[in-house]
Amino acid sequence: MDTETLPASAPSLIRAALLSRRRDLAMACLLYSTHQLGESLVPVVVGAAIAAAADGGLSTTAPWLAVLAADFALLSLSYRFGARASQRAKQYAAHEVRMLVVDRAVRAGGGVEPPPGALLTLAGSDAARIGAFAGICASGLAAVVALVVATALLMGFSPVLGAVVLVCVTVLLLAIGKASDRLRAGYRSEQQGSANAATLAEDIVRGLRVLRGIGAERAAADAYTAASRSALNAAARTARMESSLTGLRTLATGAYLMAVAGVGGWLALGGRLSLGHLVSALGLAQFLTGSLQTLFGLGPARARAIASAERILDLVRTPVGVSEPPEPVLDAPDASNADLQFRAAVGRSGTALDFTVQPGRITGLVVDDTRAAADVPALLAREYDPVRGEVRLGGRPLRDYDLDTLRSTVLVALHDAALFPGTVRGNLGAPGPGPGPGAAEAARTATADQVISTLPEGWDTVLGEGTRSVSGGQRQRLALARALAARPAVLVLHDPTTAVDSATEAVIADNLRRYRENQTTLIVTTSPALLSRCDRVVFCGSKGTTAADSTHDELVASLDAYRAVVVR
Amino acid sequence: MSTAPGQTASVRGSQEAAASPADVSEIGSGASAGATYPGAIASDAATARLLPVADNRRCLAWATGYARRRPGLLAAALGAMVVTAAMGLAAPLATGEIVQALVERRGRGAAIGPVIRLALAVLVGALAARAAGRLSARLVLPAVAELREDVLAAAVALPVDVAEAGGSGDLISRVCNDVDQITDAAQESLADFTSAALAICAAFIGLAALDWRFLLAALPAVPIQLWTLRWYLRSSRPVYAAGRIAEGRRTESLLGTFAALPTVRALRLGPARRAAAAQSSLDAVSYEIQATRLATRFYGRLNGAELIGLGTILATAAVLIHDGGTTVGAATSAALFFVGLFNPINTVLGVFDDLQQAGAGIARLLGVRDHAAVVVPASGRGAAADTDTATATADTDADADASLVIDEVSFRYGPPGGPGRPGTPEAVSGISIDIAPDRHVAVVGVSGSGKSTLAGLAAGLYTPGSGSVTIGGTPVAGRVALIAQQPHLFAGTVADNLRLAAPKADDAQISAALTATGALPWVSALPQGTDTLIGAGGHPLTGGQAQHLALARLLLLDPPFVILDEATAEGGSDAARSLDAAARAAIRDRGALIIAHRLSQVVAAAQIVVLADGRAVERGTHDELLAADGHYAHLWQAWSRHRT
Repeated sequence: MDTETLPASAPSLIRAALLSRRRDLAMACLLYSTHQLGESLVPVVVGAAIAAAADGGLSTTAPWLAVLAADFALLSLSYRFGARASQRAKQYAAHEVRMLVVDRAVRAGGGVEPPPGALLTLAGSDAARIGAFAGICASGLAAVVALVVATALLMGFSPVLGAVVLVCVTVLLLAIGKASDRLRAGYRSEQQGSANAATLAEDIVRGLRVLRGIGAERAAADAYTAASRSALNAAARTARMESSLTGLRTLATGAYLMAVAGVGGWLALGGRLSLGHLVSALGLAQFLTGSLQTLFGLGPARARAIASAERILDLVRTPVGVSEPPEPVLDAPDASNADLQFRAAVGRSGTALDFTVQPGRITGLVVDDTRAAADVPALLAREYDPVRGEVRLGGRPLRDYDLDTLRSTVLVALHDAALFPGTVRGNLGAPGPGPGPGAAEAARTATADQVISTLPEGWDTVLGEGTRSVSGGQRQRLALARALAARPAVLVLHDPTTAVDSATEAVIADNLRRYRENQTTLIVTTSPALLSRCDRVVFCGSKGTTAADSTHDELVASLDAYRAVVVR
Repeated sequence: MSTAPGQTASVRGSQEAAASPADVSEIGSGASAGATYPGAIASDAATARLLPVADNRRCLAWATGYARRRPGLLAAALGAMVVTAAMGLAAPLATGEIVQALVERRGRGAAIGPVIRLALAVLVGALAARAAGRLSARLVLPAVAELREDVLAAAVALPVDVAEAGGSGDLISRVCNDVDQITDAAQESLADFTSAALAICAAFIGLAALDWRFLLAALPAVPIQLWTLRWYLRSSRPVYAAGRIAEGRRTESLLGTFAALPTVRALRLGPARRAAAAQSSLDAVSYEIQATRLATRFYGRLNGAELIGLGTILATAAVLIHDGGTTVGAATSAALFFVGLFNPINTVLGVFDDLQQAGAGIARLLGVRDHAAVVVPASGRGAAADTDTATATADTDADADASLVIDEVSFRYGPPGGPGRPGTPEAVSGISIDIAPDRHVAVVGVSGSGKSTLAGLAAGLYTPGSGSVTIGGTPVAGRVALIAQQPHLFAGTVADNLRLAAPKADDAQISAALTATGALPWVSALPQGTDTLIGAGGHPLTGGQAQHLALARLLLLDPPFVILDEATAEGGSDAARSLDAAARAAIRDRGALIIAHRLSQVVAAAQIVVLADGRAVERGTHDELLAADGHYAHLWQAWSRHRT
């Protein structure tokens, strides 16, 4: 869904999800109604068959048996395809909502705060709850059809009785709907509880090695148990409220039956309704209790869906972390003009950075303060904008550019860049069979080809499932290969070889120098192996003071502060 | 969308029961190379890498075991459901009374009695329905909560390679999605089953009371229903199982994206990650739809059974009426009673569907829980999970002079409990290292040579395929701490993160640990000092700072042996300088295994072991290895070229 077409409210989000599969929903409703019709015809046909049997025995009954078979075919097939349509409506509605969550999460502007486990709950159980409402809606609509038909029939027997049923059902539906609304807050806190437990579980599993390394399994399990218990308490609270509502629904159904029986009996005993009509009316009323239960169930299901829709809206409406101007610059600067300038730019470390990266060169950047060093890639990737000062590309502030243009021009390989579940090939952005010359060369440059050759299925090895066995150094080399394969005009690498051994690092440094010859490249690092291969090295000393702009060898020879950082 | 679920799912009918105690001890001692354990599943490729799934028998045993622990609650819940269902029968009775009154031509007042009785039944029924809902929630919710807690506790105690075998998605999906599904299915099926069973009983009694021959006539439907149920249970089980796996993959895909949003943005991978998420979501959807397709065929066949039963009754009626064997009224009632049986019977059979769904989830949860009992050494589990300092100290005293002995260990990554995928090379093969208390041994080698795996083996994170890791002849658990290569900050305060190692540490001890590692200055400078929230969604820290906290945590834990796996590799300069000091403080007076690329850290080690392709190819002191002019000398040359 587009930014422009964001749902305005929880009900409109639900409506949009339901309508995304309107054909399935309509088909389910129609077929469920047909099913109901078929079901209600069974006793009629049975009556006719027995009447025929009384008249002439088996031979006269046989045609009615054929009619019965036809009715069964009708009700069975309509249920079959109705239920399938209903399931499609339910599943695809949930899918739409899930993708709404994913869309917001991956948006270029960022700004998404919730941890992975919380996002997972939104895309999982919250989306499922909205989908489930779609399924319930299908049977609800069919129940409405049954109710309307039956009420019309009742009106035929006795207008008074019909009116009583109509008023009764309307009042009860409104009352149940009202009562269901109270459940909404309960459902929200229930989902919040699940989200908290899921977040903690995800955190524990992600940090499993760290936990195991210090024998903190029990501490972690205890923390999870506490979160699970508070989720349980929230779920138990809504379960209690739901039970009260179930009691209320039973009461409402009973009230409806009493009204029909009471008024019908009153009318019949008073001679204003024939015996036959009374029996039919009471039979109809009994038949309708199933439909009524379905309708009364709509209220709680809607409350559940709205609570989840509100939670999803909270996410979807989160403002972006970095915005684009109304008329962004769409054209990337020429490679020859693609210089990077930090103009007293202050990021999250609070340190002002001031330096220039010349186009067509490989520049090493050494920042004494690691937190300030971490600001450089983050500012260039526009993870956040400088609180003061400015960062420029080709003479224009980064925030003037269209985000996609900027990031396709300036590719930032973050230090802790993750690989994704999927094949090595997919991770390195190589489409089609075979690695392709681009990805293969990038892999060679990053010495990732050696890593890939040791994986069980080479380029087709699936990462993320049982292949956590790629070590930190191997992962780093694969991530570097991925960044190199993109061949951006400006490449920014942050500490790309911290987990790589010195011999391999030296090879990578030489390869990198060849691979990025005459292309704008910034390497934020303190590794002398990498820095010694750079055309220029910029040194930002502590307290943000710039800076020397020279070569590695000269800086080592002339600057004690630089040597202290780099040679250890 | 076009996947055929039946093909990727494995039918788990032929599993053996739990491992015998002998199996446990055998695996625990690490003596049996690649021991498989009975009850560990899945031979086929699609599921080979996932965590195990329990068999039906164990699921049933768990459910009945739980029910047996709460007999009163179960009885009360069932009682309330029976009352609810019984009160539902009051309406037809009241209707009958009113009709009877009309037939007897009594006055208007005659309707009052039945309506009042109906009102009473409705009230009782409503109260019973409320009670039934509450009681079944009290029965089901804690059961599944307890199960997910047990599963997580078991999962964190598993060998790390086993726990991570299916990716985090497999495990997370089990404790989240599967639990949701079990809750829904279990709560629904209980109430449905009770009311339907009651309705069936009532209808059968009615049918028999009219004429036993009608009951006989209804019988042809029964074998068809039973056959249909058997067919359905067999064909739907693999679909549900595969559906749960597909949801696990969806979770994996979503988590992979949600946990790496900065990378997604920086590399403009949004559309690609969205497409991957959509694909995995649609895959999971296709299984749900497949399951519904089966379920509707199931109900279709049941409809067929009903038609045959009803047809037989009508034919019997026709014959009997013709012969004067029964009245038209009795035949009508019998046929309608049978019609009234349709829905309850379908409901009861549908409960098997619910149970099937719940079972698919329970099997996945129990699979993890019970797997831990088999693959985690009993002694190790107790000690590893026990952070109580008294126990730790007792252990330490007993073995104060004992070395950490790594004896001929080999290891290969593979499916949980299995012997490793054929063709997977050993990550570590036949390595022996002795680390005396207070001695420091370094391990170097190119990346991928098996260093981190060795670290994991030495710390007890992995169970060796062969060989052993011991201190004074007993497993290491609880006595060796590892600082992992990739730091992880848990969501919580700085103090929370430190207390993971020592839950009872007070503020003074925490400050002391921070001071000793030199982390106090920057921690104090955080917005709320040690109370600053860090980790996901908290104050951002650099990798170096995260490792700094890990080293401080190590001091709080105070173990006899330490393994540093690239503990100071992160973040280059200022932090690294204090990290080096912190690392020195952390290994002082302890035995240590130091894995480092930054060779300045290994120069002083008593012994340096060089790994290549999982084997120890050189060992000696720095000077000896330089003189040997082999792998180490080559690494040293590359390292020192820019540093002298």
